[in-house]
Amino acid sequence: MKRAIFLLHVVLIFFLAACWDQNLLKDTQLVYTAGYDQTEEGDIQATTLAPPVEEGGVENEVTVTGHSMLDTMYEMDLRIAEYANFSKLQTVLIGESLAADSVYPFLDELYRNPDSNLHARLALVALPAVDLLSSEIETQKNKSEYFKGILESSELTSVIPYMSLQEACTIIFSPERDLYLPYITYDEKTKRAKIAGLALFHQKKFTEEYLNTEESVIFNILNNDIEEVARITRRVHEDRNPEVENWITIEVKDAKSNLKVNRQLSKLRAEVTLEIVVLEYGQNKITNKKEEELTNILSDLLAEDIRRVLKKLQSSKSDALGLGSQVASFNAERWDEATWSETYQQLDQEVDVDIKLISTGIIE
Amino acid sequence: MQIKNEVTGWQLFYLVVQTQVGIGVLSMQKDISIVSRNDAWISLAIGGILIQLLLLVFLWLLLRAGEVDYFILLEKAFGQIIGKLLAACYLAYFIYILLVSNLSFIKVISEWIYMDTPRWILMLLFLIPAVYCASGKVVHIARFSMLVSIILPVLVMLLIPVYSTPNYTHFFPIGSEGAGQILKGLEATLLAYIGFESFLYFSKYVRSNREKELKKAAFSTLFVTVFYLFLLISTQVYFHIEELVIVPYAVLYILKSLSFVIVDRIDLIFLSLWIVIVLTSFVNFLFIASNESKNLFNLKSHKRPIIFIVFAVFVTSLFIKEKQEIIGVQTALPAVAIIFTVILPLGTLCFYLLFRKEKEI
Repeated sequence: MKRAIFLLHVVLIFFLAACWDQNLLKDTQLVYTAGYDQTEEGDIQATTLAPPVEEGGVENEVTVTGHSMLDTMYEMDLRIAEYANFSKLQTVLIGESLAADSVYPFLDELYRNPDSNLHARLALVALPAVDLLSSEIETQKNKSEYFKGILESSELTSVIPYMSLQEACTIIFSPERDLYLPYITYDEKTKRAKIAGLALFHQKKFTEEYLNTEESVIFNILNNDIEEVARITRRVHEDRNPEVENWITIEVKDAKSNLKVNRQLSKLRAEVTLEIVVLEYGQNKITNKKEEELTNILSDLLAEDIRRVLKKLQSSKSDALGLGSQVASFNAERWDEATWSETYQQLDQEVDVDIKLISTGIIE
Repeated sequence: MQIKNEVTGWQLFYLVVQTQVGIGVLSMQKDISIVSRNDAWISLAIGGILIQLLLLVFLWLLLRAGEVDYFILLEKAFGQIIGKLLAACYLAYFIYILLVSNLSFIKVISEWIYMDTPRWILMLLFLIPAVYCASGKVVHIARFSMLVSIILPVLVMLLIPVYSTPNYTHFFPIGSEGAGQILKGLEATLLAYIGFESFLYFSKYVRSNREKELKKAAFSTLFVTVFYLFLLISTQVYFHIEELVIVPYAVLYILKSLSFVIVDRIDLIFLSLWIVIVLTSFVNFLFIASNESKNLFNLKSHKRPIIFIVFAVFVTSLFIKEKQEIIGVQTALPAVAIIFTVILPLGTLCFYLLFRKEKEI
């Protein structure tokens, strides 16, 4: 009996290797960056970047057209020596043409496939994704790293939120919230891509509107979604000379924003409390009196900014701050999915900004 | 060394817990949410409380009945012929449960990681260890169940990062689906809790100090309820309901989307722990089924029936491979389960007690 069990174990070892599902690195091409566009016929054009096999080599760039997402992968496999593998995907760039109607059907396969990477960052591109991916980027050899890095560094400064495939799909599935994606443009002159701000969606469709970088920082504050560094530079004086003395740069250390729609669904109240540190101020001396003056000026300026951002969101029907989900959860009898975007546009604003200057850093 | 063929109260507790916690860890969130939407957690809580009460009723009746073995009790209550017939039905029910659990296991594994590995290999890798575990004495599987229970807190810890950005609005408005949907959700809830009835069959191995020891074990469902509630609430704060109903294995999706500094794809780590949990559930049922057939056919050992049962499960599973067929096999489960876990045991126990009283008078 003992011998039988021993032999059984020996036999079983051979079953453990999982040979059928082995996925050897030498047989796969790890795609790091993928860009998608929609052709005029409604097909998908996919452009993928895979890092070079040897250090200092050339990046592997492929552009194919297919009828579905998996079809594009199939077409890719016909053109590359290995199998395309999306498990290390870092960045997904979406061309505007893809978001013209509804962006989800294209993301579905990436989202559900157990192999794909749900941490991949999503961004909307102002030009066709294929153009951006194939255009030259000055001083950059590795484009995949560049596109990942450009998004990552802007997240650190709270210009854009971290928008992964998982987060985007969670928002897409909530009928009470609208999607927003980092927006990337390309500058022909300097040959560089640039984070232009946040693209606003109405449901799953791009509204053609976007918040610029200044506004998107405000948006992130309103959305309670800021990282360690959130810098705001504003002109607080009119009459100083040289010009640089008119400006102040602050860093938001802590921000709490409380957005509320009243029960009658007529008014939107935004209460924002900021704890700030002054980083740069031309006059270099901040007395108590000056402190009060500055916080007052900044409160007014930021309140104005918040109003502008809210107005922009409302006029483009983009409920990116998820006010709808608040109404649906806590004011359910008045919630109506069909009329919400109309109601949302009609909301009056009431903005209240409270600024606490907690430190002036290296400025006396 | 002579190993005693009996278990303590705590061992019974873990036996019942491990029989209950199985495939449901992954599938119940979706199954319940489809029906009771954002009130799924209420359904789960109500289901847990009801089943806990039912277990207490079982306990009360069992202690009064005096007879320790549930299947002998069947015979005593209904007479030998009907009793044997019912025991045979039970056997069929157990084999059915084993079949469903095997099929569901293979489905998850082949959909999530082993897409290309043939199903029969996966089944063998699952069934052979199960045969080995179940062929021991009850003490062995009880100790194994206790040992494996260490995994449950690990699963809880893996899910804690979800609470870094929770979205509690997904629960509101509470009760919006109405009592009807919440109660309808109990059906799916029952599936997650199946295995609680193993209390009836395993309780015969508690020999010394029965009343006190059985009482400890009777609260196993309370533990499972709390564990399940944590799982369900964790998925609900993470996913919007519309997403939860299309995502097949919510916990796997969550774990896949979490990222730590050194480890990624925690879902795969989770899955390898989960396999062990599913295995204990399978082993415990296999053990009950084989022991029952030992009594039913007057065999000397329960080892031979194990081979037969597993062979039957293996061969049947080979023929059921289309998605619709698998779903078809699973759909009968709630109705069958209610009969065998609620109605029959309650009926038998009450009938036995009444019948005996009359005789005594």
